[in-house]
Amino acid sequence: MRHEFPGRAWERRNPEPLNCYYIDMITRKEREKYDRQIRIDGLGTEGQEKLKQARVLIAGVGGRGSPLAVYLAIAGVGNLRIVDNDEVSLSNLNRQPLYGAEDIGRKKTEAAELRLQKLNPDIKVEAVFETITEETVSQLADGCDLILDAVDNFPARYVLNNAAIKKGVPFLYGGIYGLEGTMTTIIPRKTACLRCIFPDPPPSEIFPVLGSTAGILGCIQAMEAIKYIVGIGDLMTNRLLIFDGFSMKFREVRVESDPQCPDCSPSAGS
Amino acid sequence: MNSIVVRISGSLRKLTRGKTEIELTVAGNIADCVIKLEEQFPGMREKICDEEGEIRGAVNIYVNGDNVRSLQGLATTLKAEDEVDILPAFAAA
Ligand SMILES: [Zn+2]
Repeated sequence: MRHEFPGRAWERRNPEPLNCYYIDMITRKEREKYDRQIRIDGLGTEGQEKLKQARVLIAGVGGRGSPLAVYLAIAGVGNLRIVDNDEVSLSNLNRQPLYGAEDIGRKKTEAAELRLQKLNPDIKVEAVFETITEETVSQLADGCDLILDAVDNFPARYVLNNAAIKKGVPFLYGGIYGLEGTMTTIIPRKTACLRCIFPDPPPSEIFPVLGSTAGILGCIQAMEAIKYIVGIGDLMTNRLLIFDGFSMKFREVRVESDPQCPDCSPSAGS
Repeated sequence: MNSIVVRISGSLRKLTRGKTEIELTVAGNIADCVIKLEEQFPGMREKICDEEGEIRGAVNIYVNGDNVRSLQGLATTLKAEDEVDILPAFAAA
């Protein structure tokens, strides 16, 4: 099933479709680089061009943000805006393969930008060292076709959730704990939002996390983002995926909008 | 009395000492299920319910894949072989 491509940011950047077609058409080198994925049913060169055009916000370049950014970069997603307010520390290195021992003390955004540009010099990486708050989020998400959650706390997720609702762009939620993870795809006004699913934040603590759990969930989010941009497959909408590495099982539960949701119901914010 | 399976996730597994699936025999509804869990794993009720006895906003309980919040909450009745999922929100990045 194909779904509608989110055109708003795209159209804003490319008011003249003909122009945009010639400017953004993929080069011969790119065609070769992405050959194996261009062969995927429904992707093709047209899908590759959509990836090149897309701009995504990667909120957080830590555990899930590392694989998320890497796999979107090497897939040729044209514009990655990475946001984080943290510096690389020793205890990050078990699960954040964007960084190495030599990066300790550096801003994650700076180290990540360098690494991502090395992996794929043909894309644009915008590194923004900033905290995600009600005040900053509108600008951080400006012009983005989708918002990817790779943050480590619920208050920031609710801020991103609200920004996605206001801007009408999808928000891909993910969260992990130990060997377990969850994710869902939120399409404002079409699916439940994060607040519908979890009305309150869990208590903050230092969580147990295995790097491969972050890798699995980050890769799933990256795949979902690519499907969304290209317009292929069935999205994880109105479903919450639950991965349990202890028993090595995937399962899903149904997700429903809360008609009284303070964030996404029609009366919200009024 | 109905025999059901309760799946425990995330931080709640600290209380079950890592056990992921708990078989329970319960009389009626989700509230009974929480009482039974509390008997076996002291501290569970406080993790699941708030001071008013309502399900916490950071915890979801599903019966056969449906969130009990959109059913009858703690009063949601259980029948034999129902699968109950208790899922606290995962926050780590
Ligand atoms: Zn909502």
